[in-house]
Amino acid sequence: VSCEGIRLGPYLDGELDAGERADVDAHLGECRACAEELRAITAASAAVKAWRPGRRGFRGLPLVAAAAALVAAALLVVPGGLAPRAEGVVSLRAGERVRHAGVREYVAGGLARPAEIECAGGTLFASHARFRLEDRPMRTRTKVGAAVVATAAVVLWGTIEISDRAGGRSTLGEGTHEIGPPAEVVEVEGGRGAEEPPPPGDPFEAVTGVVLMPDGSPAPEASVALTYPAQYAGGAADQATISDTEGRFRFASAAKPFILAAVKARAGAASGYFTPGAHAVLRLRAGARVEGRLLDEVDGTPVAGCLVSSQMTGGVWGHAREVTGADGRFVLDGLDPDASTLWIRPRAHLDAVVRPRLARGETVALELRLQRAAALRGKVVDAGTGAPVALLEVEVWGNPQRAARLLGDGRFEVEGQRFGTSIVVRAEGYPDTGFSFDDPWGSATRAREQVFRIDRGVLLRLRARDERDRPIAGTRIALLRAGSYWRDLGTAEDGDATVRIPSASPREWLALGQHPGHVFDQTPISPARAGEAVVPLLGRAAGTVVGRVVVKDGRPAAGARIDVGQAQGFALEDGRFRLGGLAPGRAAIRALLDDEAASFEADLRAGEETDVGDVVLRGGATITGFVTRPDGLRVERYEVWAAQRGGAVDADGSFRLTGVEEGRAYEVNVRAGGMTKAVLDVLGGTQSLEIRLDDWATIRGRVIMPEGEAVPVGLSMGCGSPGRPVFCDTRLYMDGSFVVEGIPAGRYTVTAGAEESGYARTEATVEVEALGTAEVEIRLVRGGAVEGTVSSPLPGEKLMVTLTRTDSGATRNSAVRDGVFGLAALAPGEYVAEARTYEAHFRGTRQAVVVRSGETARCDLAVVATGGLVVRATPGAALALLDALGNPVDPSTEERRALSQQLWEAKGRPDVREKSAREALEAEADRALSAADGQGLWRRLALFPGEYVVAAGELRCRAVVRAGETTELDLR
Amino acid sequence: VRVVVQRIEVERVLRALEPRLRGLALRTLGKAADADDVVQEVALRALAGVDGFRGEAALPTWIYRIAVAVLGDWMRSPFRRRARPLAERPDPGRGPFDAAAAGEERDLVRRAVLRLPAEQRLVLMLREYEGMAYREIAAVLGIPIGTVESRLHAARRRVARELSL
Repeated sequence: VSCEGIRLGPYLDGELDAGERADVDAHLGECRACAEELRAITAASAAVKAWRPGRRGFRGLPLVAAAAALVAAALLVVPGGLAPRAEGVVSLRAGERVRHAGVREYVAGGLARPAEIECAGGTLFASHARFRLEDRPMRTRTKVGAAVVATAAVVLWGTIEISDRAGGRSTLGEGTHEIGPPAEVVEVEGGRGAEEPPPPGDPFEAVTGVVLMPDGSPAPEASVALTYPAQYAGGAADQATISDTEGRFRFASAAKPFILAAVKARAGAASGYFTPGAHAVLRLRAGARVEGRLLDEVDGTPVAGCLVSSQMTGGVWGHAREVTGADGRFVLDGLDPDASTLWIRPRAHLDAVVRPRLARGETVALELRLQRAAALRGKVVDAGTGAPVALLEVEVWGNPQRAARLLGDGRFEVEGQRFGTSIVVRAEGYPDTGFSFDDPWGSATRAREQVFRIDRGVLLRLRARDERDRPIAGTRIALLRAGSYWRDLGTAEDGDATVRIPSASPREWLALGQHPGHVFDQTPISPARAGEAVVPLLGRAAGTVVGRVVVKDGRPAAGARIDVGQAQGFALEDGRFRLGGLAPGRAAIRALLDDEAASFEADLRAGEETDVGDVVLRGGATITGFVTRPDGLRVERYEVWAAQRGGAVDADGSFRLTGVEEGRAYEVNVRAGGMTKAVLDVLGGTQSLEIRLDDWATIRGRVIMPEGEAVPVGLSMGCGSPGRPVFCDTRLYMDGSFVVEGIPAGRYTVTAGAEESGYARTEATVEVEALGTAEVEIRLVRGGAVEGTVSSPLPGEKLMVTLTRTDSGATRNSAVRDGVFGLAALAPGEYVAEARTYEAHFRGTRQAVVVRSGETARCDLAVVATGGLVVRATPGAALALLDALGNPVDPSTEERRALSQQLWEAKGRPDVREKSAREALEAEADRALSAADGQGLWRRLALFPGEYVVAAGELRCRAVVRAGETTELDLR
Repeated sequence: VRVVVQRIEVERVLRALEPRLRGLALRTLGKAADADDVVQEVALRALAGVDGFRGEAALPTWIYRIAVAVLGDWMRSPFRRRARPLAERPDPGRGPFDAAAAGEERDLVRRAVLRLPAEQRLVLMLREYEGMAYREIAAVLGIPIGTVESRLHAARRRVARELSL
């Protein structure tokens, strides 16, 4: 094999299949160039992976220069199944010393983990350091690397020995590895020592501090990060270091107020807000640890290769992730007990999200039984010809562990399909077409290969033109489908771009243009059925603003940030700035540097520069305060912001908003739990305020399972207040208990269900008083299923079945594929099933269905051609349509839609996104269904063929409706 | 009610994803202030577009698509590109020891990453930070898998060269 066909990137990323992999392996054995290339990209990949810019993502060892990167070059492959506990010594050449050393373990597909380090002699400067890689399971071909990281310039590289648990030294490769080229050693001559004070005139001040364990003892080797709050534009350098054996640390410089954060694995984390020159004391708060095991629900075999991750919010917790080993085990630690949710994403089992009850400093053992997922098999055919389509790709959303395999002849297979799975089908000459499955586990659809029909859609030709209809070269063009699908077509060199979109798209598309010299409005694209469409994008000449930012004494404010709407620029060394591509007209401009700011408005002229002259920064003020509940207790976890800028919340629960202009009024906003609160018109300047929340109600509850059944892994819950947009901060624990905290008093609907395990979503309503706590219980029941067929004279037309619960009106939808539909995990009760189609003049039949727990009900529906009825009567006469038995005939969905459509058109299309406007139109449509209009005409559409009776007062008149025809009736 | 429920759901997912989105933005843009703005912009776009979210993609994926679009805008916008990283301002008054000790603040990896062209940087971050598979990256960015592979390779080679690996 020549080097041409060797795909090293996919080899490194595990994207090759076994055969290709073997080819690359063989090639690497004989080609030095490729082996060298692989080493380089592996090292680069590890360097980028190990790179932690700090802030919330900060965890682990410092990002010291490229040192960590090199270590990746010494990757070692551990044979499958081995659970190594590697120990080793980093020893340095004679005369060289290291201040800090660190060793990392690289797990394939996961993040680097720091290992425990001991510095010899307990001194800051050491000649060698011992390390131990944690005893933990690893999956096949785990890569173990070791990094020697030193923060001082004394020496970066040494030699490293790694031995396995058995004490042998040869298991992990060659025994002794030399890391890094000696040529890169930087010698120190006449430098200033770390403990010396900064020289006079140094504009930066050093920061020193100490990290303490939760018990107050020094925390050696804790990772410490220094970061600037978000409002210090341009100066947001994140720095990191590790504390020495006494827990002490030092940063060479800090220019502005900053936040310090410290983490020590298995001990905890701390953070605080400091000003330059501070001596910081950071006491760690303990974290929690989870030791888990994932097993198959049926036979209890371990689930290997499953991604387990925890997303934690607040402070420096960041996130943790791990892949289970061959024994199904994983360990996550340093978790924030208040905010830890585990996301479990296996390959061939159903996904799960669990929330164990954690406590600081404690280890929780977890054993989860995962439900096996069915595979989805499908075939993609052309909607017109029915011929198989040559697929480029089938994407599966939601779980990075899953992939679709293409089997040829339009066929594909996805392992481990789950609720809400969506796929996007890509094929040459077709638009990207998405399908989603509301009910993949319904037995009716699961057992069969499903057929997906795609059509060639509409070819859009997008043309960016200026006001004189000349092409605007270099316009970036993108398409947006009403907020849900966004596609960037890239830069159109000649101002033209083409793309295919689906033809039957029920929603509007928008075309967007972007160009430095022009401003584009969003251009709506009306849905077309087929063929081609030309879409002109009009670009208006943009305005430019120039000026100079100065501080109070007239000196230039170099680096000040300028915001004009969404656009942003920076002032240069002389304070001058220039920002182009702005929409002409009145614009609000804001300049900001450190904690000084200025805002004003200016009129921007199209195609011209507008000089706003000198902008003088003012301010340097701060608003501080804290948030309390109505009973006076302080709230510790909340968000605070003012003038679109977030504030910092300290560990003691107080907040600080900087970058505030003096003499300007601010609205301070707080969100805590589900409560939001705004304090209006706080005058800038350094001032303190207490924000008292109006309410702090709590809902506590428990999900009760049927006798003898365990809480399923896929249990989920929701909480909302009918008719009110209340944000509910819900916490659901694995034992089925839940808490919703910090919400306003009122009536809430709490739902819980585990549809993937067959438990129906069940609802409970609860009323909670101001400052009160309400208790609620939700009893889960095994749901029932409905499956059946829909016969239709319309081959290839998109059909669906809607199941409406008779008592609550709640609906569930199922797609119909090849005439079959199915829905599972339905709450027991009475439903009405209705087949639905988008095709005009056709209508689906309805049928009542009773769903019983654990049973499958059968329901066969049909789509039939309909007819219409036009009645001539006296204007405004009240009319009703009855069936042959004398029962009123409900208006069809299509009838309502057609009437609403007519009304919108008559009224010049009001904004139909407004719910109230839509409801008003529907009410009007209802009236039109019961009375003749001003001309005495009354229409009914989409009626099933058969005999009907039209009732006008006491008068009854018989009418026969035939498929595909409109029957006329004169009652005058 | 559906829209309200969706909005609540979007808020919940946004809150859950927020640290990861911020991490992705911070790594891609290199500046915490920009990362904050991007996260805010993603949240605004997601909440503004929630009425139009029809469940074609999983909610987190949809939000990632928005995030990638916003990040792309941010990196390619000629106005923002002009922003100078002030943290790198030269500091002539310090000796070699400090210059080296400041390796803490003068992060070579960061500089190497920030010098990558926008499209390479996004692919690299989605792979190395988000741990996405090639096909997911292709899906989120709306580019073919082959392009993902070539951009990723180019990005890694360039980082390797910049770091003299």
